[in-house]
Amino acid sequence: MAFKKHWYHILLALAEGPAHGAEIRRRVHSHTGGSLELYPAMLYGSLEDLLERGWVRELEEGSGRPAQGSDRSRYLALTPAGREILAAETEAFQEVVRIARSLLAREVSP
Amino acid sequence: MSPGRRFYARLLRLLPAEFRERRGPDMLATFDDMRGELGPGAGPLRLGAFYLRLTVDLLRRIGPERARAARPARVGGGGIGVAPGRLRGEGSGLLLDTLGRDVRYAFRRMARSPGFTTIALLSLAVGIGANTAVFALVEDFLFRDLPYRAPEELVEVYLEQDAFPFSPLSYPDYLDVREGTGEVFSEIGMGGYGFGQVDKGDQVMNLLGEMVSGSYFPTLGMGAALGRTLLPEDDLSPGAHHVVMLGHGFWEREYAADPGVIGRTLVLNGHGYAIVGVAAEDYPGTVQGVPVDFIVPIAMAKQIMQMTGDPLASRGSQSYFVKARLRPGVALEQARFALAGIAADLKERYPDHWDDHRSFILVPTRDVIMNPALDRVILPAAVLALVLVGVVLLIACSNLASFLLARGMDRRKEIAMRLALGARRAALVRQLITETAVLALVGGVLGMGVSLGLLDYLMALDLPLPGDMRLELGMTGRAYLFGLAVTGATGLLFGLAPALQSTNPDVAPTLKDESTGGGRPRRFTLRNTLVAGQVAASLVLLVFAGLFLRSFQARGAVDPGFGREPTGLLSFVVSSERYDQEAGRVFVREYLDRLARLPEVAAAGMTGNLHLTTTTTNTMDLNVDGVEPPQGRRAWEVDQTEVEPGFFGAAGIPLLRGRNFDDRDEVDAPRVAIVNEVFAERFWPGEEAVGKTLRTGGGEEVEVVGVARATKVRTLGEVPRPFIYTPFSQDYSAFLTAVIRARGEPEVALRAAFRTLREMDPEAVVVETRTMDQHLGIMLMPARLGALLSATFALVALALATIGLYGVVSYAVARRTREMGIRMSLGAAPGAVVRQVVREGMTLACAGAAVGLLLALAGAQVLRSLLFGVGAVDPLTFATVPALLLAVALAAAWVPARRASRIDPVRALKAE
Repeated sequence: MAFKKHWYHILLALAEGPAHGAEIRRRVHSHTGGSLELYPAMLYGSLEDLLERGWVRELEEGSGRPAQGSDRSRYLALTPAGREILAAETEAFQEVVRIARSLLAREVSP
Repeated sequence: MSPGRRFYARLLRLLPAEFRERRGPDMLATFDDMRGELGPGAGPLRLGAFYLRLTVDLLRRIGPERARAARPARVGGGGIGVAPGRLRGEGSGLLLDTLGRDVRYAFRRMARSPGFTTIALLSLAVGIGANTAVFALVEDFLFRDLPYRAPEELVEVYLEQDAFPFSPLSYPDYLDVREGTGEVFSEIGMGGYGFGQVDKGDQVMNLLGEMVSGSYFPTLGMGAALGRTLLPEDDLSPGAHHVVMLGHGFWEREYAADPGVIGRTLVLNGHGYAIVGVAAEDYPGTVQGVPVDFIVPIAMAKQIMQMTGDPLASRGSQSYFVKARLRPGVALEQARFALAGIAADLKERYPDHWDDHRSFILVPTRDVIMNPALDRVILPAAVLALVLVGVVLLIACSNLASFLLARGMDRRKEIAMRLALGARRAALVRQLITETAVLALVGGVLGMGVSLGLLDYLMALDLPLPGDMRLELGMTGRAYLFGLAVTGATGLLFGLAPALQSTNPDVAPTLKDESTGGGRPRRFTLRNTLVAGQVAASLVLLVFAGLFLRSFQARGAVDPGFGREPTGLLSFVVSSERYDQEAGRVFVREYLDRLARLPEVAAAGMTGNLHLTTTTTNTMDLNVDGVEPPQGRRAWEVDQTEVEPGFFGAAGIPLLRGRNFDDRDEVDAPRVAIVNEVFAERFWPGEEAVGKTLRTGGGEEVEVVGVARATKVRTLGEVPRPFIYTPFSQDYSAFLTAVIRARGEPEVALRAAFRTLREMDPEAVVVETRTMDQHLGIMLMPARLGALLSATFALVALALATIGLYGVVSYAVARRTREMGIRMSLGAAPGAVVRQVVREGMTLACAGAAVGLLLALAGAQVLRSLLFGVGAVDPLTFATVPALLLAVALAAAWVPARRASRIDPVRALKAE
């Protein structure tokens, strides 16, 4: 499976710190200014994909979970591999952005 | 649980079990989050879109998750997985392939004409959604499965008296019935209603509860969802059984469905009750369909109702619903005979209460929808609602049929060509039907979303129900099936006729026809008839809506005769355990003094029974010398309330003659009363009522000291009723409503009044706070709901008919471009061409309107009983509605007709 756009946003949300699913959705919502709305099946299905790839891990009871959170939900955190992927994807993004900028600049000044 | 949440929980079952178990609760929590962000006031369309996106989101995830589940497990395992989704029945492959091709073709065609597809799907979604939602509402009442053991053996006992049949029984009557029916009933139990207050610190939660006999649940043969039901041992001695069952909905809402509640304590009206069980989820309530929050033994009635006297001792307090189980082999007639015997005996023993007009009625429980008295209103309303939405759907269908007919015309050549080349007609019909079936199916799925949204919306509406009562609405499997059936029926209805017509095997004329549909247009094509029919149907709906609106307006214009100024109402109970009558009077007087000193309060008064209260009526038996009581009765029964002197000023009821109550009217002083003008005119016509004497049912003399202006007493539409006020100083009541005329906002005055009461007595029990507008609004609710619903349906119908007419006219213009081009090149003015097209469109509309007018005249007669203050043939409605409809029709015809005038003759002639 190719790397998906919403995976990037989920990883990015987790870079802010461990969170449960509902919190991840809220973070993605605010990061993207509301343009990416993660509906539940997409959200938890993707989390499952990310767990399978080892980019995200579930926190055990009491191990570094934020204290104020709700107790019913599973907390998730970025793994070192996840952080690497996030960094690599961001690099790739930057590359695309750089190319795009230079192309656009050429268009504007003939 | 809201219908939407239940729906989503059900949807989750489609996911593989392992994923569902791991993520299901989190997904539901996320659903709650998202639903919460939409807010309670989100409209049905927005909610519908939300549910649709949720559904699509989930459906899209099923495939990947199934695939994941089929892959070798993460922890070791292995084995050969079967490739998912690749299994297809052998032999049926050909049929499936054909179907698949047809479906794909249908989707391609839908995508090619997005305008048509959008309009078609929107009309279908609204039509199917409205029908499914109304069905779900009605189904909830009409087709409830009775969750009792052997429901065919259950019967309900009511009283018939005077004008009010199916009244509940008094507790002593119930005991007599129980005593005398051992031969015919194997079991008998009863339930009644009471309010319980739970103090949550800064606010009071008012709970609706049931008080039932120990034999009640054994009689029904129902178990509990958790713990146990109330049993005979919970109903042995009055006041001794502090046990409670929770209502299922209340348990879910307030305790998050915690199974650990058994054994905990619920504090009701200041007393702790041990929770022994949770009612079954399908327990319908004593009056079926009225969900309650708690259930206590009837032995606790005095504690729950906080009354001075014993609420179970009076034969006058008829508020208990009796259910019994027939002994095997006993016929209804035998039971009726036994009850008639008891009634005859009671008449002899208690002639004061049991006059000639009173008897028992026996009704089999399975014939009861909610309650026999309410059923007589519910049934016609339900049928009317179903018919109205049905008409809307018919209009939507005929719209689609009409569009498809038009498209069929356009494709006639293509189809004729394919037929000529040897395509089988059956194959073509199948393909065309697949197209409409796909359209209907997508519309149907959208419709389910709309109907879930509608139900959520209805539940979130702030209906003025007594206490904190709420509706429990939901989509059952039956409702989904109904939606599916409607979808299938609509698909056939609007798909078959066009498919057959456009594949008519009479090929030659079509192929030979060189023009783009020239020639004289036929007057009575199927399509024209459909459009005229739509106009007729929407006219009928508009007239109905107009009549309901006028009737709502008329009701709103009725002067209740009191409470015209901004006023707050605070109902409370003076605890009879802590205040005897003397202390109670002192307490109330001090409260009034404090209220009068509040800057927010202009005037304050007290009444025991405010006019136009739907839940209770208070009456008093009395006689007037020289006036015979009604035949077969010993006394007149007149509506009555206890008031203290400030009430008249606070409620704005002027005293016309005589005096108000005052300090003279002490407990020991001669008894006095104030009557209203209707009373005075009825009993002493043409004479001065002040100074006259009347006698209570008990024989006590009462002097009339004043005459007050008449007000509405029970309903806004009633004929003027006599009414009598007795002084609170002589006639104590522990249940009081403070009438607080406000300076400024009534809500502000109410909050101040609430605080004041709590300062005086921190444990004071406040039953309800509401403004006078809310109080009077309850009387207007049925009319308002009727007007709202019928107006919504009518507007949807009008919109659909407008689209239909627009479509017909613009199609005619498109087809006759060439003809018009010729006429214009021959010198016809563009205006003349437009006029002709509009005239043809309006001929259809007028024909439809004429038929609709006749139907509406006939239909309005049926509505007569539901109308108020407006005749069935209301000139204003019948003049305005057709005018409005024709104006809209004119616009719908004129817009496309104008296009005809812009035709360039040269290009039109070159077109073919």
